[in-house]
Amino acid sequence: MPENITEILNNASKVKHNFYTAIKVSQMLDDFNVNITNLSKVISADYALTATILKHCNSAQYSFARKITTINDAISVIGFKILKTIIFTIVTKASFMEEISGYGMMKGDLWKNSISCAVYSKYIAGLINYDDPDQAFTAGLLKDIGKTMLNDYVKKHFKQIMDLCINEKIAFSDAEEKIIGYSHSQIGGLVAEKWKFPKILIDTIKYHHNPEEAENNDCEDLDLIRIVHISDSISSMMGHGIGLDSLMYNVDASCFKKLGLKSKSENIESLISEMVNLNPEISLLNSSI
Amino acid sequence: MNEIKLKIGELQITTKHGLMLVIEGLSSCIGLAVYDKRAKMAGMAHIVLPSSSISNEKDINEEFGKYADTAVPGILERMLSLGSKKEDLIIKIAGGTSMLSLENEDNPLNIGERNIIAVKKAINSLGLHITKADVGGYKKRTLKLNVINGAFYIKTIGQEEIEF
Ligand SMILES: [Fe+2]
Repeated sequence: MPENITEILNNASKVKHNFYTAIKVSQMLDDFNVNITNLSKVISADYALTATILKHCNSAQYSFARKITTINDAISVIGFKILKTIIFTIVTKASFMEEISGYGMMKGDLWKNSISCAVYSKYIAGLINYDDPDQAFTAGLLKDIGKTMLNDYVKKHFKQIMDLCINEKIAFSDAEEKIIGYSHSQIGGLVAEKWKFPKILIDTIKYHHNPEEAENNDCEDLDLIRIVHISDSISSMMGHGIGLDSLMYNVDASCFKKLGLKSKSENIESLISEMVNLNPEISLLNSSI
Repeated sequence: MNEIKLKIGELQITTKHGLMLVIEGLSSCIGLAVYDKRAKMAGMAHIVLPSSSISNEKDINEEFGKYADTAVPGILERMLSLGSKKEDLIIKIAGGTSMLSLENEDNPLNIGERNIIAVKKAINSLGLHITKADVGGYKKRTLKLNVINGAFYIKTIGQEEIEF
């Protein structure tokens, strides 16, 4: 018996509270006539967020010559685009640090998994000269936002979902859809749409486990979906904050070729070798957010 | 008890009592844990990939814990050179999971399976054998080894920790 979608989406309101400033800032930045003073005001009104942004800007990540003390300062040294990424990272951490017990994720696991996927996504984006590596970072970060909303339902139906996965050899997300009525990717996509995220972020969240399906569904940016799909799979293989579901997905190997990456065993091993060298960067980023 | 958590690609050999060597969150990586019961010496490696042939020369010295063909001798030959006898070594491995669609051994993405094969091969080529293995499947594992008494533990996600 599928669950009620309105009820599921009600779970989004708690997460939305964390994302409030990020959504607003993101919308303001999408407007070409953005007014810096207004933007600073919106951000500065959120004290906790402001403090974390300033802490991050003054961390070893950047080592600017002078101390960054205001949001205006921060904007002038790091620019809008990076500021937006930082804000998303901070608000995501606030929501993703929680235990996501339905998926067998302990406190901090979803965050660890997501920040790794974000860093890996940005790395692959750079490798293939994708035009917006910061967008790839944010997409990699947010792919599983639906898990925070679907958690209680997955917990309730876990055995049924897992049995279906094992017996029919289908992906966990497909089993979620069959049992609950929606997968975490679909719920994430719906919420991202409701919050008026850019279309490419909505598409990535929605299709991160099914990049092939995206090809038949009017998605603007298939490469971003492929980047996140590969990064997500490799994060899971490397065990970054994984849960009970994390290995119960298909990896679409055709994404490598479609992105122009070589896909022989040795190529994939080299890629993984380079990616795990980014792990210290992930730790550094984690401690500065 | 102090826990030493080995990061991806890290390798440790120690005789320090009061330490527990730990690898958390093993997925397709392999945790190799070795104990010399006579010398009370423990070794552990968090192996990521089967072969160092993909690494460039320059990195190989720093990264030898990362690859099966360098990490296995990195622990076993080292322990033997420190005085361990082959018959005293207890060798256990865990990890090497696959993702759902990758079970086919030939799939280039099936790192887990290739890791299992490479680690076994490297151990056997030194004239040693694996005492116990908990590998494959779809579940994350945590591996522990107590330096003072050589007690091995394994915790599979969703299950209780057990002696291994
Ligand atoms: Fe997902």
